[in-house]
Amino acid sequence: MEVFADAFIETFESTTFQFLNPLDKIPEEDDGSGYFLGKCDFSGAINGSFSLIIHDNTVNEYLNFLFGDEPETVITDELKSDSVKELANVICGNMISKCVNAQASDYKIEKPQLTSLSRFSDFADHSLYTLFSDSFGKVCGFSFRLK
Amino acid sequence: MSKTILIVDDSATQRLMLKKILKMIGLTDIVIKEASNGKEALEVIENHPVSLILTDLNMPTMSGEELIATLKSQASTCRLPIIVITSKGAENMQVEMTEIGIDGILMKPFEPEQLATLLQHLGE
Amino acid sequence: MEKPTLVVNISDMKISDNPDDHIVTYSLGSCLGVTVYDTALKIGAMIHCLLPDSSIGKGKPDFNPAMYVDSGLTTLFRELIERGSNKKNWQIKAAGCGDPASALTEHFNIGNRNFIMLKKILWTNGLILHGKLVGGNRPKTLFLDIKNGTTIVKMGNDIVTL
Repeated sequence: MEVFADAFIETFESTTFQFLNPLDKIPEEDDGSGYFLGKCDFSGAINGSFSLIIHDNTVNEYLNFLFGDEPETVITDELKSDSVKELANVICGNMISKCVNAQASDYKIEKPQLTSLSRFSDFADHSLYTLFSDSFGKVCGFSFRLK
Repeated sequence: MSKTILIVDDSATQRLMLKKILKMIGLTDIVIKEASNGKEALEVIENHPVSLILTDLNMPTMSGEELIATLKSQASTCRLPIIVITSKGAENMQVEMTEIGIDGILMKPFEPEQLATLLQHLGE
Repeated sequence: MEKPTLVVNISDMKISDNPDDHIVTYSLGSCLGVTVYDTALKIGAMIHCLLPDSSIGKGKPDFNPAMYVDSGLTTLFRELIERGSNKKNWQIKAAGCGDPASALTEHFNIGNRNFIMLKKILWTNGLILHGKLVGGNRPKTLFLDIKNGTTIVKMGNDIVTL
């Protein structure tokens, strides 16, 4: 468990330059509105799925930080969706590489899908999940399931 | 004439980041072309002389692996320098990619100076 | 190695354009040491930061920007620019950000976050690193020779030129 959370934190923080602090429990206001859920399935030598929860504001801040000084780059909803999918893909790849004993050539990460999240507790039935508080006080987290 | 670098990635975010990183490492006198999969990349190469390709692997329509195989099979493109930038990492990948004639591999997230070092080795 | 003439303490920075100066900082564990050297003006600077994020210290009466990576580097860059230095000529090198066992907390280590904050500040300023020796659990000493910008890291008996 610890090793998955550490791999998640390391990749998330290195990619977004934002820091995470673990939450002890599901927030009392169990409302996932305003959150993205980026999901990647993987198959081959290992099978399962990875999901990333991240708030719309956090994604906005992330993109503004990366490209805010580039006048030709407009932060559209499409770019936000793309960045969540890309982030999910990158973290998933890193978590498999760091935590699961599988050669890169022996499995495939499917194209990430984006959905919305109704409640954080929907995550609680996942065998492996951790929630954090991000730099903007929003919830951020992952679930990682091997079939 | 300015050199052309082709960025191949299905993620617009990743393409924007790569463009910014190329600028940060001091490559300003270059033309940057973009493609969101291998098929689009081949179309760009057909119509425009390209001096370096930065490509992702996992892409719809035509993957990076298929793009590399196609380029390596053609006399006109088999010597084109290729750097792979992927989120799927493992220790053996470096060896595998070198065997098929890749000039470098970076695992996302990577640091701008890692790309700068690879480009320096390629004489860009 | 020449005898140091300027010592950068923890949460401290020094800038010099005296070619006879040799700047040093000792015992970089999870702390971050950064050198910036202007190859045209031959001005060099070194900073030794303790923590990544200044938001916990800002507003306090004893706030010291050099304690934190974000405020420290921002201040250092500004001071260099005020001396006429152009960031196009900067050679930036980093050492430290280690993971000594004592720095381990629940999920993260300070060293790693110090390095992430360095990358964030560099990205903001459109700058890249020209050399680094970060991570590991051995304390590092960082040297900068103002005459030519040579940056050296010493770990025990090992000496590495960045």
